Amino acid sequence: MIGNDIVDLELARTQSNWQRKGWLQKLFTQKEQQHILSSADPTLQVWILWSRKEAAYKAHQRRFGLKPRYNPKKIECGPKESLTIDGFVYQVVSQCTPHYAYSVAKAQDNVVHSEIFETKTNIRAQLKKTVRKRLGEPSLISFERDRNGIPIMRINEVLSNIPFSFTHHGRYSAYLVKA
Amino acid sequence: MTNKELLSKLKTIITPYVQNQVGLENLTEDTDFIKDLEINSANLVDVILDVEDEFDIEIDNEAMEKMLTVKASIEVIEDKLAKK
Repeated sequence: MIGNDIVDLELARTQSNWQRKGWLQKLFTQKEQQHILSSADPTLQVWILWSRKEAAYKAHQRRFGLKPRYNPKKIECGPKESLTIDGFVYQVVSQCTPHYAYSVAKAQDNVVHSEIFETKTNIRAQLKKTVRKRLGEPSLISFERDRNGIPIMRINEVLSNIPFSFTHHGRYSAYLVKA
Repeated sequence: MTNKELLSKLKTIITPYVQNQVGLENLTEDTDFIKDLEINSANLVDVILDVEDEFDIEIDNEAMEKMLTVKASIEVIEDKLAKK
C-alpha cells in the first residue's frame, strides 16, 4: 500500500511555530526530537519528518481501512528509510527542494509513479490522464471518498483497487499511483 | 460549564486555523476539523495546545488521537475537566 505527502516549506513557516512549547513533544518521539534538534536545519527536519509520517499514515490507513486518528507519535521514523506504525513497517523516500519536502511511503516493494506540480494544478485530472493512458482506452474515471475519508477511484463506474494518494499544501501538489 | 459555553470556547480556539469559512459558519457537533474545516493536520496540534491552555488540562496521546471532530473534542475536554 502507498501514500504521499507534500509540505510547502514557505507556507509551513507561517502556519506553524514548531518551537511553541509542547509542539514537538506532542508530535515527535524522543529519538525524532533529538534528530531534529541536533541537525543543522531543525526547521527543515521538522517538515521532512512530518511529511514522512503523514505519507506512512496514509499508506497504513488505506492498507487496513482505518478510521482517521491523530496520533503522530505512534508513527515512528527509523531506522534509516523505514517507518513503523503499530509494528508494521513502511519504506519512505523523501526529497527536498528549497520550496517543498515530499515523501512517498510504500508497504511492500511496489513500483510507484508520482508527479509533483509546482503551480496550481488539478491533480485529479492529471491522475485520470495517467490512468487512462495506462488502460489504453477511453474510460470514465471518477474519484470519491470511502467512509473513512480515503480517496477511491471508479473506472467506468466500477470501484477500482488501484492504490493512489493525493497531497496538496500551499503552492504544491502531487499524486502517487501504483505503477 | 455548559455544553454551549464549551462549544463557543472551542470555536474561538479553532477559528485561526480554519481554512474553510463556510464550514465554520455551519459549525455543529458533527463538524470534522480536517474534512469540513480544512484545518491543516500540522495545526491540529496547535488546537490541542490551545485547548490545554484555555481549560488548564493535559491532553495525553490517547485523548489527542480522537480529537478530530467537535463532538470528540468536547467529550475529551469534559472528561478531563471532570477529573481535575
